[in-house]
Amino acid sequence: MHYVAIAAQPLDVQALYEKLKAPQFGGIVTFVGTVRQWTDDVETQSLEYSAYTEMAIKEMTKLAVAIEAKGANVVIVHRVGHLALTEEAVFVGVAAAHRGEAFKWCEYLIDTVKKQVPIWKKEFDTDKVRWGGPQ
Amino acid sequence: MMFNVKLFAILAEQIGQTEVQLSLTAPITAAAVKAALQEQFPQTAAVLADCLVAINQTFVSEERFAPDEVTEIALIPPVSGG
Repeated sequence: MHYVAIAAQPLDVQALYEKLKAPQFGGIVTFVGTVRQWTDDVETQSLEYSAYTEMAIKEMTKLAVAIEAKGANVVIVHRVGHLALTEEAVFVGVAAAHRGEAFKWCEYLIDTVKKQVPIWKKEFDTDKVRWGGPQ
Repeated sequence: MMFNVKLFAILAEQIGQTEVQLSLTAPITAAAVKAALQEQFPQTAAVLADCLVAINQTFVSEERFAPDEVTEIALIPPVSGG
């Protein structure tokens, strides 16, 4: 059963991982996105994520349900609010019967979350404040 | 007819509000929402060009809506989660 959420509090990675486990699944792949200090020459001090929460949950649920229909458990949780360096911003996990599907579906899910779920990143960099995404 | 339109991220920051009221006539379309915002807030033109429109919390492109089918409109700047 999928679990999707927008979280205002730090992600409990271990608890989210535990939600994925089930006897019929032999492979679990998780992706955790964390706040990075350097992007080429730009130094980030912290990030602020905001979301169109209701729609983001709908979009993440659609993605999760479509993958679960193939035979998997899916967890997608994204943070909002102010995040310091190294904090977890997003957790995507897939449990499947075998590792091949788990890797493939996890990569698909994080790539698609980044493209179509209404969540925005504001970067507080040492030189200026930047909104994430293509400029 | 007047509709509340939700704004987010850079667009909300440019206008200084998270919601605006726009006058729209039937049929309601993504293009009409963007055009109405640009008319009222010309400074948003560059950002608006890259925005998507969500009606009733679903991305729309060419769809046409009657006013009574519309419960929520939002302008979605380029997303950057992850």
